[in-house]
Amino acid sequence: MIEYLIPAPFLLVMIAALLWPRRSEYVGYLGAAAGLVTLALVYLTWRSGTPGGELEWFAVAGTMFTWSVMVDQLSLLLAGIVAGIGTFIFLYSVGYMDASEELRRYYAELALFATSMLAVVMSANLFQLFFAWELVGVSSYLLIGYWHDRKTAIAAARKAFITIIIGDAFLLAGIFLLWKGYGTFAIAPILEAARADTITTIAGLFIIIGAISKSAQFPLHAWLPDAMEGPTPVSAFLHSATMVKAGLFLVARFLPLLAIAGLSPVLIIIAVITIIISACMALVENDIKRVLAYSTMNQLAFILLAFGLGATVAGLYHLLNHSVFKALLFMAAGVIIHLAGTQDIRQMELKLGWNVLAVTTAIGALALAGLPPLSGFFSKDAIFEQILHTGNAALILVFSIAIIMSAAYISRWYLLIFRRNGSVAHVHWQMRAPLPILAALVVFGGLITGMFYSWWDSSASASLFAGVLSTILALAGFGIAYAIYWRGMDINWLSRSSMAEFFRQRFLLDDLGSALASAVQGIGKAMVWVDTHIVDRTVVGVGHMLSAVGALLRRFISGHPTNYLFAFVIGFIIIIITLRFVL
Amino acid sequence: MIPLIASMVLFSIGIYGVLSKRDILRITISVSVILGSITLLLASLAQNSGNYSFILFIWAVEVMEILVALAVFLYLARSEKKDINDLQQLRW
Repeated sequence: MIEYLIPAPFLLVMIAALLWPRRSEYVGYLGAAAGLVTLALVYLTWRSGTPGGELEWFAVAGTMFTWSVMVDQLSLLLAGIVAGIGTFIFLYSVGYMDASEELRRYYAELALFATSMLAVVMSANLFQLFFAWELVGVSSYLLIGYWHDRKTAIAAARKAFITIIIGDAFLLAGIFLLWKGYGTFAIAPILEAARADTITTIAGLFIIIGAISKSAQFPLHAWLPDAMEGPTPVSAFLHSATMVKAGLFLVARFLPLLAIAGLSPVLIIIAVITIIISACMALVENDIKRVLAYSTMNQLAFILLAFGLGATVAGLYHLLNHSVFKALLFMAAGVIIHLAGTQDIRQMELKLGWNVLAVTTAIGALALAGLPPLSGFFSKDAIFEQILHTGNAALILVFSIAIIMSAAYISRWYLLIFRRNGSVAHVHWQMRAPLPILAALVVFGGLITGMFYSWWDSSASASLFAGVLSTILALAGFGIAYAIYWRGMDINWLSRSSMAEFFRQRFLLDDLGSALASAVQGIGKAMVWVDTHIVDRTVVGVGHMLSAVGALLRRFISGHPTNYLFAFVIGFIIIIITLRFVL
Repeated sequence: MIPLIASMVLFSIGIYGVLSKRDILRITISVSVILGSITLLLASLAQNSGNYSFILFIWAVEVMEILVALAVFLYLARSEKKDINDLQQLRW
């Protein structure tokens, strides 16, 4: 039953954060410890293997909803990522968050974020998954809008929440469709019985929409860059372990079903579009964290592409590696913001040299670009290998360009930050400590490649050709960025071009979204007009009419018996006449 | 025909009295006139059928009507209200 305890440590941290009146940095340390405990629990679950029974949750109309845990490589991998990254995040938060603030809410929300993500990945049935899925969305909303006195943060939180809710609605519809089609909420039986029929296809499509809203893939990606309004540790957690990985987890979980339903091309198309637009936007972005946000979109699209091509293990391996190096990059970005006092990479004045920050950031950036011998190379190479294997020229071209562009945008980011000589300010040890550890994981992560594949009963199929080609492509990207941003090649004509402006406007997709929102708002306003001017007036009008009739009738009820008698006589005469002449 | 016409005339006089007078005593008298006209009508019709029993019913009703009217009249006389339109409380 040990697998049931996996979300427990972070849940306890949440309760502790709420109850602990002050000295909230201890809660941060507690959270780091909880991450290690969870990691140990994940390890023990992996060793013991078999999942336990299910707990009854509630029953509706004869259908029992249960709380049960699914233990397989996928859930253990994701739970391990959440626990491991969570440890660093909590530790980093102690140094990053201003200790003078009231941080109970922050730590409680962060712990809820981790707990709910663990609950998502361990879910064995869809209803439980949806429940935890919603908690992930809510806690991300709370954390993005943590600084609730900043208007931009509030707007970003709302944007994220609304975008996610759109996906959630589709996911819920998909879940019920699956229930309709297969008569159960349990995931394993559905995957076993998966068949290619209409209901499965529609349900799969809805699940994909739910997943891409969480994973910020085209066209539901607009919330991700804005989500950078949250505290940096939150961004690191959101990008490396929890939020955006939930969507990919869902796709990975349902990959057999999606493949049978013939939806793999949908995944590939979404991934390709996302790869192109995110790389273009990352190239022109000047906010240090937003560049990383676009790179996350880009990398997640690589993983989605691998899933679409059926290379599940390669995709998940890249997911693992991406978690580590993206956490490293975000934590480094937090330190850089702290040192530079600005988020604009054009104004950064940091020293490039053999200091911890510059080296670890370089390791993270090189891993993102996919250079050997860092961990990112091995997984990206596996995906590239798979793409070369398909022999589809368009896909190969897109991916090759994507490798060049990702190398280019991350080295532009790096070279702009560490361009000048600057002073070194003091940084808390809690913020410095995770960087070398994560960098070491990135450097030596490639060593577990064989182990990882054998754990999934699969084998790595790396060819020298793919490796050399992807290295050359990445180096080409570096070369371009180096020439422009280090040697000072003149690109004013390019950066002032309307194309660059188009990228900066985020392909006008945000404007499109705003227009869509305005249209919906217009419909809402029309409905309000109908409601106030027609529905309300009808209701009020009935009242007015009745009171007018009452006022009229009241004049007859004078209380004068003479009037009554007169009315009586007149009425009697009318009745007589009617009876005699009319009827 | 004469009793019928007389009955109609009496009835009309009674209705006129009820509608136009405001003194409760006069109204009571007018109601009695109406009842008298009905009695006359029934009596004239009974000449053909020989059935005078309805007249007895009318008398019974008239006696009760007079009783109630006199009770109201006495009450009004004590409270010094004689105008029937002062009795607006009755509408509740």
